[in-house]
Amino acid sequence: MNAMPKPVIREDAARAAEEFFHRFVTYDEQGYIRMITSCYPSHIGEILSSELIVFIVLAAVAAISGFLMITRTNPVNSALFLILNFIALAGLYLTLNAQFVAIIQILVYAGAIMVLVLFVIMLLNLQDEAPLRETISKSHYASLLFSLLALALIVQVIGWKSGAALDTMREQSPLAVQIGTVEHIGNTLFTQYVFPFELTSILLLAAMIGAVVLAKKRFP
Amino acid sequence: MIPVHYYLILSAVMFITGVVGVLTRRNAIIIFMCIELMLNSVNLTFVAFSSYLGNEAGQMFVFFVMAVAAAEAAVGLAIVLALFRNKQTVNINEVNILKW
Repeated sequence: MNAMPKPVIREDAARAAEEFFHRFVTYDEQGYIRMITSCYPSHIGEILSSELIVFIVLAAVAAISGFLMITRTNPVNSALFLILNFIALAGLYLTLNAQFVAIIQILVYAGAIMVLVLFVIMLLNLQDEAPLRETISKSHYASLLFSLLALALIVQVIGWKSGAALDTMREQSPLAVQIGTVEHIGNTLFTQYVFPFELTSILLLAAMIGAVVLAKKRFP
Repeated sequence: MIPVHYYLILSAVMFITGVVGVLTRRNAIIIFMCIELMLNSVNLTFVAFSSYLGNEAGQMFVFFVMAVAAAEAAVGLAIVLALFRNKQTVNINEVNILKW
């Protein structure tokens, strides 16, 4: 008889818990968790979408490994940080739905080109350079200053605020998933871009001959 | 969704990192790697615009840029090898035959 209020309380508690949970999590149409919203008011509620977390991690790896690449004194360390940078970039290409480019990035850049670079570094048996803090000069400060000015200019041109030229590109085109596939890239490459593709083979042949001649010849 | 600005600004940061490396480092191989970094930051811009505009031309360009970068790597490293064979150094401060 007296047990009547109990289910009501439980229902309320369940609803309250559900509402509380829903303040932190939003779902997409399939019912998957789309983003973990903050418990603060909604103006920062969308800060932590899962896409953004992936982007921030990859971007941080790319930027920091790039910085470490130009500051290491040992060329082998520089090359390894550059490989890390390339792998982070391949991940970023995947977030942009460009699967083919991501695979090529790993195979050609992180695989072929960087192995060639590492091979040459080992072949030359280079010593470490003097640390930058010992050789730093006025020209270094000048180059840093002008580079940062250029960066500020680029950021200004990109236009951070709304109303800028890029404001329409807030999200990826629906076509992006389709055009990044190997099938579509291959189709386009061998129809529309077949002439540049053939020219590339001549370029690679010329580079190969040039590399053999340059590396073989003994200059007087 | 992430606005395209984020990719562009990351790309700008990487490009400027490469520029600073080219301007401050004296080792020819590291300068070469900085150029690769700059090429890659431009590739990121190409792919970002390609995805956000729904146009495959950007990814085609990335393909050709990679082919050119491979050719550049082969020739550039051959030049570094020839340089080291003649001068016993890859420090570009000591290579000044063409300096006026």
